[in-house]
Amino acid sequence: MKAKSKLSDQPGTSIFGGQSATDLLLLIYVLKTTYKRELAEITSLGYTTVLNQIKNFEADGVIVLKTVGRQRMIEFNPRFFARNELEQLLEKLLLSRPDILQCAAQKRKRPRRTGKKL
Amino acid sequence: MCGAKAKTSSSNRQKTLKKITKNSTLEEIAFIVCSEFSSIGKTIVLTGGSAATVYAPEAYQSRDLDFMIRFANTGSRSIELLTSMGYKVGPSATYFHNESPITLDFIAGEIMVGETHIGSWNTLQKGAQLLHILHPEDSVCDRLASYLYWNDISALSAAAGIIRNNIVDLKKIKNWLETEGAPVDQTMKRLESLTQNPRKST
Repeated sequence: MKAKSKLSDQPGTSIFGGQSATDLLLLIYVLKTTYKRELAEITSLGYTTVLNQIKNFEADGVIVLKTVGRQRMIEFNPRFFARNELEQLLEKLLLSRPDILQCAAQKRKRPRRTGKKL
Repeated sequence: MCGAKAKTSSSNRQKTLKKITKNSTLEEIAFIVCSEFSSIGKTIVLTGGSAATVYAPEAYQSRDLDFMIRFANTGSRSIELLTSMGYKVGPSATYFHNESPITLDFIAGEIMVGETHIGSWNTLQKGAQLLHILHPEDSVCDRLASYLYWNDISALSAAAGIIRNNIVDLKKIKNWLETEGAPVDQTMKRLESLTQNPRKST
C-alpha cells in the first residue's frame, strides 16, 4: 500500500525515498521534538506508515527516540555524521514547502497557564 | 461641584458602556474594556495573541485578552469597573465574564517583547471607543518571541498573518531579531514563506 500524506506535491518531495518519508523528515526537523501520534495527526498519514518510517530513520541513525514520561519523543540525532549538511538541505527544501510549515502551525507548542481553557 | 462632575462622568460612562454578551467578538470586548479603563484614567495595552487576532483575525484566533497595565496594581476602582462589566476574578487572576467565554488577564509592569522594552503603542479608534495595542511590528516580534522560545510554528504563522494584513516595517523586525540574537536569515525566510503562502481555511 502506498501511503500519501495530505501535503502537496512539490519538487524535491521524494528526495528521501518517497513523499511520506520526506514530509516526515521535514516535520521532525521543523518541530525539533515530536512523537509518532502527533506526526500521524498533522500529516493524516496512517500510524503504521509513520511507525515504519520512524523505524527506518532510527535504523539509519538520523533520529533518536527518548522516553519522556510515557511518551517516546523523536529528535534529530545530534551525533549523526552528516547532521549539519542534512539540516541545511532540509532548510532549503522547507522554503519550497510552505505546506510543511502550515502543517506544523496546527500545533501550539508554547505553554498555557494552568486553568486556562484550550 | 466636584460631586456633580463625577456624576456626569459616571452617567456618560453608562451611556457609552456597551454590554458584553456571549456573541461579542474579541475585538469588540478589547475596545469596550480598554475604553472603560481609559474613562477612569488607566492605560491598558493589548498584547500577546489577542493583539495578533485584532491585526489578523483570519490568521489567528485567541480566546483571551492579555492587557499590560502600566501602573502596578489594578486597584479597587479597576475591580469595581470589571465587576460592573460582568467580570469575576478566577484562578490565576484571570477574569471570567458571566456571558462571554473570552477571558481577561492583566499583567503589571513594563511592556517587553523579548528583551526589548516597548515605550509606545498604537491607539485604534472606533467611534467613541479606543484600544491601546502594540504596534503591528511589536506584535509581530511578540509572536516571533513565542516562536523562538518554544519553537511554536503557530506563533510564526500568526506573525506572518500580521505582516500580510498590515503595513509592517520589516527592517524593525530584522533589527529586533538581531538584538535578540536569533537566527535572522532563517526566521525571515520562514516568515516570508508563510506570508506568501497563507494556510487555506478548511
